[in-house]
Amino acid sequence: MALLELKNINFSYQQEKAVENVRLSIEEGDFVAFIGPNGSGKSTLLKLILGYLTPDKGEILWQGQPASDVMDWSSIGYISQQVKEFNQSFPATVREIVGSNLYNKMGFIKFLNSSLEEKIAQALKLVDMEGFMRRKIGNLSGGQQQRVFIARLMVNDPDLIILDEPLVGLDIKAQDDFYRIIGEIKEKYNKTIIMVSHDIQVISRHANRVVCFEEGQVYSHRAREFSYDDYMYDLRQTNLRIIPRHEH
Amino acid sequence: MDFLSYTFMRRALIAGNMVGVIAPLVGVFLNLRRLSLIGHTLSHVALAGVAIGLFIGVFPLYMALIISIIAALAIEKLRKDYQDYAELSLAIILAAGLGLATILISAARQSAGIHSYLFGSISLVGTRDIYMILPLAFIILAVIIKYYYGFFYLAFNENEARLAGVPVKALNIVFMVVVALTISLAIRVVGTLLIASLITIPVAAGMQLAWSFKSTIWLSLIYSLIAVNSGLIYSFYYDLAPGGTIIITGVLLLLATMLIKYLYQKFFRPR
Repeated sequence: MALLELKNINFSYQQEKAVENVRLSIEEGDFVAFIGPNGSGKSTLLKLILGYLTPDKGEILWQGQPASDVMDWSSIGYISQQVKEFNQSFPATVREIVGSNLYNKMGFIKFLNSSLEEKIAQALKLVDMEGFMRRKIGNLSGGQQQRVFIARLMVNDPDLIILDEPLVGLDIKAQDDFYRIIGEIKEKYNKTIIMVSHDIQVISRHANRVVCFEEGQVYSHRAREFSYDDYMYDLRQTNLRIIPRHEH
Repeated sequence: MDFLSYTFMRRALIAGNMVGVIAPLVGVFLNLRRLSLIGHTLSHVALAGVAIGLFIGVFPLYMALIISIIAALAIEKLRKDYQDYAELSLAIILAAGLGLATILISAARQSAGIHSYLFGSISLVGTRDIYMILPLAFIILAVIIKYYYGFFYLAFNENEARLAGVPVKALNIVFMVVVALTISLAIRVVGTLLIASLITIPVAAGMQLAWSFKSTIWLSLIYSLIAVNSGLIYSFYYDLAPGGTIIITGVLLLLATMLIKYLYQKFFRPR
């Protein structure tokens, strides 16, 4: 049974179709790359999966059941595009940021107890940040903050990890670290991952499936059958088709 | 310590310290969510509540409580419906509150008592005020402790809080009610015009030195309690409105903290 199944999903912003008849099945352990130009529907589809939007038509199934009925949202770990746009002077430590994601596991009084503290320590160890527990989040570098956010999602032991353009603004070293850590998480815990990226060549080397978005529709490929050159050729052809239409 | 021999001063200190605890506690979350304008808005609406109370002859603080809770819920709704113009809707509610208050105060022709509601009063904190402030302050304290990490998450990232299982909608409503209650309870001590400052200034001072979220809360509490107690004592000895003495003490503490921090960073910070 698929972990996540999208059945004929349609969604429009007022009159404008953003996602059209999307059918997609994501199996446990998949590393799926979402690629496509801006405005092709990637972020809208993520918002639909995350329950921020409701499909106009179609159904989202989580382990075979309607997601709207059975979904425990804390079983999805999410890093958004805006993750680094938080208030850098927010006075919180790494421990508090990571710990806050354990809200569902806290008792009647929403504080951290020693067993949750242990989970935070383990999650930070996973991203090589165990020595940074008491540091203020705003005092860390962009790459270190990104690793803290990976720890924040891993602390909940999620079934599905969604990463929406997580590498924007990171230098090459931090990008390498990011892929190394995600690779380790994938290998060690067999997590299912969806990642949106514009760096098509790199992501298609790490993912086992590539889902191409084009004007709200999706085309899914096995990564080993995906050809970057063919994709770029198709994209240019599409643009050539589109541009004259906009000129009228 | 001769001020402690006066019953009214003991009452003022009890009320002041309760307000001095809850105002910065609520303030930390409110300010970090960049919603401090809500404090200003609700305090002006609370003044309208006081004016309605004076006009119709109902205990003004009860009316302030009711009106500010209604306004807080309306603000929460507007904040969601008009996300891009949230500040505009706040400014409108603030103006409406102040306008209504002005009309009712002038229509009542009985504005002698209004001074104490504008600037606070130590001599007018009555037993009835204490009975209202004590239980409600404990409820506010209990709610904040119970949902501590929920409010923390809302302050850090409201959008993603839902994915961690935080009941965002319900907690936002609870939070707005807590803000409205805090403001209504603080009216007697600091007055409607200065409540928002008691919510803001100790937090601003606390944030200067904080090394974590928890420390921000503790430092804000310390600043607030110093400001409230010394402000009340100045108010007693120099016969000044406590709202002013409390807030000016808070501002002086903030300036001193900023100066000390600046000097430390300039001369002592390891290079």
